[in-house]
Amino acid sequence: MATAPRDLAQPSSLREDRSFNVRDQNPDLSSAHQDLSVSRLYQASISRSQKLREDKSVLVDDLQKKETPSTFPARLNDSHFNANVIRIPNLFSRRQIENRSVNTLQEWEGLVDAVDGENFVARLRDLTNSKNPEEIATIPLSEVDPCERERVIPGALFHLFIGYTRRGGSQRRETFTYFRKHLPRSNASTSELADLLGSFDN
Amino acid sequence: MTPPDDDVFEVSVFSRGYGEAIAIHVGHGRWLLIDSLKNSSGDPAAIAYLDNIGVDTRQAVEAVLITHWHDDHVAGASVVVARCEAAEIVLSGALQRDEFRAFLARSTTDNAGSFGSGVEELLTILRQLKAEGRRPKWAWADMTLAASRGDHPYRFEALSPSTKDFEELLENIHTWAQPSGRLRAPKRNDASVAAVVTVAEDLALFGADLEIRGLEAGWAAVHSKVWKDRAAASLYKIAHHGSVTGCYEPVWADMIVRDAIAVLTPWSRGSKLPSPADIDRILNYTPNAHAASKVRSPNTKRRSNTVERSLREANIKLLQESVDMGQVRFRKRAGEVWNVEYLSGGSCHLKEVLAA
Repeated sequence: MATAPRDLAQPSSLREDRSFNVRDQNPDLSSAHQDLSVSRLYQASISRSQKLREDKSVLVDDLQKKETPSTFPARLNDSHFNANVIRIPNLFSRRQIENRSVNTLQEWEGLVDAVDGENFVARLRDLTNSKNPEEIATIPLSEVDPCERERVIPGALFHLFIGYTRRGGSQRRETFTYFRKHLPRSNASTSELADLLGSFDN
Repeated sequence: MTPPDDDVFEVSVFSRGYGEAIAIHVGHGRWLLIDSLKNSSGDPAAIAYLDNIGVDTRQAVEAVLITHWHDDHVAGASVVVARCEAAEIVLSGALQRDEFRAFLARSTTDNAGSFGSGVEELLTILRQLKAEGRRPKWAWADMTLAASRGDHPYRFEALSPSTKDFEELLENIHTWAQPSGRLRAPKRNDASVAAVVTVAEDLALFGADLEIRGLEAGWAAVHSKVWKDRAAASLYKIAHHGSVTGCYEPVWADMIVRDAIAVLTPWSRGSKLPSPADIDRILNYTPNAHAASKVRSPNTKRRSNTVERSLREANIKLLQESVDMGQVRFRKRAGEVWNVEYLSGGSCHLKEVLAA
C-alpha cells in the first residue's frame, strides 16, 4: 500500500495549529511543569474543511481557537498524570460526547532508547491492554514534526495513539505522538539519592 | 529443575535481549547474585529461578552485587535486595564518593514513567536498606566482597573500579548532564564493578560493562594491577555485551584459559551488540562461547487490521520484546569440565545469536 504524502498534503498552517502548550492553557498544570505538544503523524479520510464546533465540555477555549485535536479534554488535572506524563488512556477511552465519539484502537507509552540514523528506537508499553508484553518500535524520524525532533533523545517519554474520532457523519483515523516539550526540573530524586548515599558514610 | 549438588559450581546467566542477571552457586547451598533483570511476569529472573529450584533466598544468598546503575543491570534489583535478607548488598564505591554525590545533588533526572529508571531503582534500594538498618558495601578494585569461613572456601572479589576509574568518571561526568543540569543516561560505563569468583581451584570472571580506558583504568588496570598472580579463569562472562570497547586482548591472553567457556548477554536496542565482527572476534578467542538470549525476537504481535494499516502507513515497525527469558547454565565439579545447558529457546551458541 502506498504511503500517503502526508507532509505534502497537509497545509502548513495545520501543523502549527496542532501544536499547543497545555501549561499555557490550564493553570492547574503549571505546577507540574508540564508542557505537551502534539505532533500529528498521520491523518486519513479526514474532512479538514469541517470546522471544529465549540464544545466547552471537551475543549478549553484557547485550545479550541488553535484547533487542537478534538479528543483533547477540557479538564486536565493531576489524575491525568502518571508522575509527569499525561495519562492518555483515560482521555481517549471510548465515549460519546455530544455529537462525536472517540475510540482508541491502540495506545502505547513510549520511552526513547536510541536515535539510530533516520529512525529512533523506543520501548512501548501497551496502555490499551497492560497485560501485553513490552514491544520495541522503530519509528522514522521523518514521521516526527521537524520542530519536535530535538525532543527525540534517549530517555524521552511519549505516547503513540491510533484511533478514530467521529463527528456527525465524518470519521477520521488518526495517529499521534505526544512528546514532552520540557522535562521536569525537580531534582528531588537525585538530591535524595545523594543524601542517602551520604548517610551510609563509614 | 533441581538445585545443584553441594560440590557443584554453577553460573546461570539470564537475558532477554536487554538486561542481564547472574546467579552463582559457590557450593553447599550458598549463592551470589550479580545485577538484575525482570522476566515477563515482572519478577527478578534470578530470584524466580532460585524459587523454582527450591532455594530459600532469604538465607542462601550471601551477596548481591549491582555492578552499575544502568537500566539494563538494575531492573527489579530492589526486589532482589528485599528478598535476600541475609545478603551483603554491594554497590560501586564511586557512588558514595563526595564528588559524585555533589554532582548528583546539583542534577535533575528524567521521570521515566512506567518504565522506571536506574536512578529510581537505586533510590528504592537505598531507602530499603536504610529502613532495615542494613548498610551497603562499597566495592573498589581488589576488595573481597564475600568469602566463606568454613571448610568449603570461596572468594568473591571486585576487580574494579580503581581510583583511576573514578577520576575518569569525574573527568567525563559533565557529559552526563545537559546544560540545564538534567541527568541523561550516561553512555559510559566508568566505575562498573568487574568481579571474580574463586571456588576451590576454579575461577569465573564477570566482566560487567567494564570497558577499555587507556593504560591506567578500565581493563588495562585490572590486567596490570589487580589480577596479579591469580590463576586463569575457566569461565568468562564477557564484558559489555561483547562490544569491542569491552574487549582487551591481554585479558583473553593472560586472565582466561585457552578455549574457556564464555558467555554474553546481547544488547538488542539501537546499535545491537554483539555485531557480526564482535562474534568473529570472540569466536577466535574461544569456540566455547554462548549467548544467554538472541539479539532479535521473531515474535510479532498480531493486532487489528486497522492498527496494522496505520502502523504500516506510518512506516512504524514493532517487534515484540522477547518473551522468552533466556538462561544458559554452566555447572561443574572440581576437576571436571563445565557442562553447558540452554534452559530456554533464546539461549544459544554464540554462532547463532543473530538468528531470529
